[in-house]
Amino acid sequence: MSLTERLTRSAILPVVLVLAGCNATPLQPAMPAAPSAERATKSYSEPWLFVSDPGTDEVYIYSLPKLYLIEVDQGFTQPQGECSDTNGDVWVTGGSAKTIYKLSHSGEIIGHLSDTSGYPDGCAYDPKTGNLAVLNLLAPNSKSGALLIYPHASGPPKTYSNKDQFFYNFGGYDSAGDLFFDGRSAQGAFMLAELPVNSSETKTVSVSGGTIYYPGMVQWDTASNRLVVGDQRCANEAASCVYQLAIESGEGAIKVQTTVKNSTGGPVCDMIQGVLWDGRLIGSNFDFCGSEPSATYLWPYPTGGQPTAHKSTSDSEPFGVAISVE
Amino acid sequence: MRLLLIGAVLATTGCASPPSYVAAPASQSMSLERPNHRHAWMNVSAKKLDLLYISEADGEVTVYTYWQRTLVGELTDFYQPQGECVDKAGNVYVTDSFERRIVEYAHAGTKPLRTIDDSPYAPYGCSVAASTGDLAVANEAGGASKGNIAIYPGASGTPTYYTDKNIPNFRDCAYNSGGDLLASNDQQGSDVSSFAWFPTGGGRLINVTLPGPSPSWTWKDVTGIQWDGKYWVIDDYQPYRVSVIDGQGYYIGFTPIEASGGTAGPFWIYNDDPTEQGTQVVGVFSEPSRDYVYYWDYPSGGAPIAEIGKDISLQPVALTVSLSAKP
Repeated sequence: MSLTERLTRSAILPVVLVLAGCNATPLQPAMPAAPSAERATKSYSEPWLFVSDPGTDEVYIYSLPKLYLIEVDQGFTQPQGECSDTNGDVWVTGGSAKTIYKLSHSGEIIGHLSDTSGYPDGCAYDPKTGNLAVLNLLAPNSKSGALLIYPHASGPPKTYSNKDQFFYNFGGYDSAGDLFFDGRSAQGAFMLAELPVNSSETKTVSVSGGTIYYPGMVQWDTASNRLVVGDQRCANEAASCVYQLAIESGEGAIKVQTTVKNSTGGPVCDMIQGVLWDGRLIGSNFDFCGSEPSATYLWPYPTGGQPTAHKSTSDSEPFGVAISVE
Repeated sequence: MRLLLIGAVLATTGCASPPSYVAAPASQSMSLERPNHRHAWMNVSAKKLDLLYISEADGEVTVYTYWQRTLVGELTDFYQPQGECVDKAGNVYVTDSFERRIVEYAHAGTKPLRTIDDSPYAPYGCSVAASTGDLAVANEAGGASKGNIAIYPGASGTPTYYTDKNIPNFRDCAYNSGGDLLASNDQQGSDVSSFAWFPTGGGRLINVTLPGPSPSWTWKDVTGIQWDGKYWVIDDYQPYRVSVIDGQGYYIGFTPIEASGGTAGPFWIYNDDPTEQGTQVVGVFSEPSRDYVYYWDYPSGGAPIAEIGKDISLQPVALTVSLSAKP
């Protein structure tokens, strides 16, 4: 092929000619850039992020930490809170379906638990016993929600309640096997409660050092040895934050507040249920505030602030997240 | 006339049994108190009492004592009074759809405190947020191309309009005690009712699916939405309780009101303690030949416990309860 022909054919590819003398080697046309790896190849040994979206009745699977969309799973009804077990399986509550779905690390629905007594919202897995705790937000017939413990993550569950609590939202186990869970009273006030290990009685945990307005995530942070509780209405505004609480003698004292921001530096309208992982706080922003599209974020923890990664092309009304590690 | 839009007619199987109570002589009250000319009027004793305001198809709003069910006043100068709502001071807002306005009255007042120009839209349902005093108005398109939810801050001034791509015309709306708003459409051009949720602090309407009593449930003919102190109540021939939390709808239950021989709705929940659930539901009951306003226990429902309309002609379209100032 002559140089003239090569130039003619290379209308798309960048071509550079350098007059360098009769002994110079003509530059090769630049190779086209490799396509961006927006959809990662499935690699079953990596941690994956599962995000529930009741707006689309789907669960998205993203890679970590770059949030590449791996898969979109369907077959859910109102998927909400999530938790993961030590096998890499992810449990996803289906609110109006009164079902808790069990997903494999590959995103396949491999089982479910029935919840006939109410609308499941959050869940928590106890690695010591294999029990699955499910928080029923509320029940039909004007009745309050409840805490259900499925022994070894199978039915039927045992039901617990906190006498002052009406709505039951999210929960998390500490390393000793105590279960902490949040919610609200019938009047709408935030509540934190505990089901101690080997106990059949729940008790309210008083919160000091600040005010939590609307129940969010509950997770034990082994790094700080504190309970992390989310607030969907930080400072009673359409903003999200999480608090570290030092738990002692049935009381929770707020020690650290982590405020998170969206991709444009504004408040996160509503992070319903996030998760801590590898020094990061991961969660989705259900943006009913209208400031930007709903998205999933990674933030440095406990610093918070600007996200280190975000993904906004999939999420509609994102709700809960969980990490699956196989 | 709104009742014609609803259009459902059931075979006459007999009226509900008259409730066992002693009714106040409403017709006698009218002949003694009602003036001959169509000016607004109100008994002076009305101010101390809980009042039931009824928008009527003839362009008037009639006012009854809630408990005694005695006619004690009339508000006039409306063309098409439709939805009504009330704020925590007991002020009553009446939407006049044809005139594209909302008129505010003090409890037992006859002169408007304020007239809000809502043109070019046609206002129907309304609700006042207890926490902020914001007035939300469910607008049909009227003279515009599309309806919306208009939120007037502090019930005055320039509203902010919120539209929804799935709901071209809004009909009903209600705030809960936390300041979240639930709204629904009218039935024009649609076989089912759709709902939108506007949370406190929010910036847009979010479409929400409300489950019903069965998996295959569809909302056919929603004629109103109220807040009963704990749950939203959807008027769809019966009062159904629902909840919306984090943008997700939940079905709570319904009040089985006995209303044979006609159709019931819209309703209003009587509640004199905003921290508790309401204790009675009052609603329009339409038979083929006449209309009533019935009272039922709430949330238990059952047979009517009282009525208005046995001795007088009513054309009720909507209603609201304005509580007297409590000591």
